[in-house]
Amino acid sequence: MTKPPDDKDLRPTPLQPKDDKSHAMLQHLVAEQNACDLVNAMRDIRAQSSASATGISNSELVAYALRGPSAPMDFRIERVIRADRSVGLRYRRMLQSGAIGYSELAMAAGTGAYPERRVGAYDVKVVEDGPDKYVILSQLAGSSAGPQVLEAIGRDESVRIPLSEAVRGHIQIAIDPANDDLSRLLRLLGEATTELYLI
Amino acid sequence: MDVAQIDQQTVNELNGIVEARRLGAADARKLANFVAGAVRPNRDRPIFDLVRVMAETGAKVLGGKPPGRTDVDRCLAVLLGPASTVVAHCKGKLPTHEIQPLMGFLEFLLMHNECSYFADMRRIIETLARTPEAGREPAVKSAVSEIASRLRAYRTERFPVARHEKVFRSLLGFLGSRPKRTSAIQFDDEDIVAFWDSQVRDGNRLLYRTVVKHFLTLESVAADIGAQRAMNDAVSLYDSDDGRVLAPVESATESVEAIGDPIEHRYEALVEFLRTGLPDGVKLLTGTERDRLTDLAECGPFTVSRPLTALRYISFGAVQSGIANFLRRGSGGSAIGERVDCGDATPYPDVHQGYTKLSDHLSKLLLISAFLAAPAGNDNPALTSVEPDALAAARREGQGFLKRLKREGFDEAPDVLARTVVPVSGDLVQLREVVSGFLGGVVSLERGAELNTRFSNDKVRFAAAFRAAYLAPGGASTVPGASS
Repeated sequence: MTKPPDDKDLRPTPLQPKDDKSHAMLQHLVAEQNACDLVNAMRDIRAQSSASATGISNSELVAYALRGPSAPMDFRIERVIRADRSVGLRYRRMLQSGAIGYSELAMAAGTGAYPERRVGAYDVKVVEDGPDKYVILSQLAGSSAGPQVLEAIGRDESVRIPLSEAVRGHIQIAIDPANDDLSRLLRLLGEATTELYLI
Repeated sequence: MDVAQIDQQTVNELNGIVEARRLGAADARKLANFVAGAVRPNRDRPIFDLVRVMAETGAKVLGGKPPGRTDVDRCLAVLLGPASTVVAHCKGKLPTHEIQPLMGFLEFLLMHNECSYFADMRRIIETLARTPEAGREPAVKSAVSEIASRLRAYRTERFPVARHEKVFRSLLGFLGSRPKRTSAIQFDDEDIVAFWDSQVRDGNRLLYRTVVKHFLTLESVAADIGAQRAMNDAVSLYDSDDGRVLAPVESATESVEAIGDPIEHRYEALVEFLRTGLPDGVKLLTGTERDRLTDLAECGPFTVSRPLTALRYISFGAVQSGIANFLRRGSGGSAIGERVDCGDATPYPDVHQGYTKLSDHLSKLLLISAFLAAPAGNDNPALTSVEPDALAAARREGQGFLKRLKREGFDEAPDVLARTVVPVSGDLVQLREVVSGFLGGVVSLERGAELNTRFSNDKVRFAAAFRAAYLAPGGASTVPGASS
């Protein structure tokens, strides 16, 4: 009696090159078997849990990620994005797909309370003028598209700020301490791990 | 079937799509086929269809204007929205019969592997939307080629290709090695047992039922391939050797409507109905009746074309499944030493008798359904061709059966019962057809040799194979074959 196959024999490997006339047949048979296994596995898993894992559909997540500049925050979706690592990763990849630029980390050389960032074709920095603070987005030479939204995603919180038109290549956001969103933005810009998206 | 062999992320992704889009069993199966590439003759046909839907929808959403940034998002929103909207955009220009699984397929392409392909798909949609209709064909082919290439890599990475390839290579090798055959893919009942036996004696404890399913797959694939000349055509549009576009898939796309779904899908739909589609609150079938019908439906077209294989599947397949379950659990019921002798195998005449009773029961259920359907005026369209007097007589008969049938739920008022029973009458008709076909096949089989004689011969043969598989030194400790 021969030995049962070793794990290495079952490791997925590409189909062999077209070495015989049966190759097309073999490809079809393997695909049919994969589909059959897939359907059975889907049925078994569905039988074990009737509710969807996250409670939000893919189309909801896409619509939320690609929402307009002034669309309100959906706390139900935000909660899932924060709680479910996989959903959070998907959401950020969707943002990246439509973003003019994004930055996942502050520059290594960044110093001070608010490290500077390069986000696509923009430099983002916080300027302090006495008690007043401003976030300045400066357009680099040669870039054309203007962002409509700045979204900052931190470990525990996130914020989405609609942007005004650039004036001579600069967009200025005056931080009003009484405004929750702007205060949150400032807080997030103080953390090197905050992700920034210009959309 | 060992779920651990299947990529869990893919399974979860597809289940999420099936639930969110409320896809029925048939559409869920098609979606799985699209992702696995189990589409004949050309596995890239759904990609081609999808890309054309994306291009058409993009053109309609933009209305001829060049797209701005948010317009691409609007296209995405439409494509990810209800399928009816997409149908409205494509009606009259593209085939829309598979739009539900096709849009699920798009959702999979966008979302799979944590959206790692999302940006590329967005770019493809944007490119298609930007391209004027006159120059769209090259853009469509380029998109199909790119997506096909992506999926090819995904399947190689995520599916147990080598494992299945090994089994099917053995099967094709076995069939090819037989002397004096006109075709390497023609086989009979004896070939199925002989292949299984050879695997068992080689130490691969494949379930006989698994082997029968492999032969079913082989037969349907071979039939499709033979009918559609695909042995000479490209299996994929994308050639990994040099990235060339090998062949157009338009013909495959256009012929698919006329051909319809492969025949095995009819049997799969019946198995799914028996598993999940029977109505609650009324006992149309007992657990044993349901299991028997499931066993039969799993034999697919072999119920008619190879009744002996179906008998073996039902009788000795059950014995081997019992052994495999015993080994998996480590206890319960008779010991392996007793089981391998096949003393529990149902003799073929008893199998025949059991299904004859089942056929009678299904006929009664259909007569009851005909009676219940009459007052509500919701006749099955098939009944309109029945002569009125015969129909009236059938309904009277159905009324009589309903009074006498002592099963849970059948004491409900007829209008209440009608709402439960009449909608599944189509499935019951199909089940009765399968059972009738099988019984007809068994009767023909008996003309060759007595069923008892066939059973006795097979019992000796299967018992010998089971002994070799499960009683050989060190043989009864694990069940690799049970996972296949």
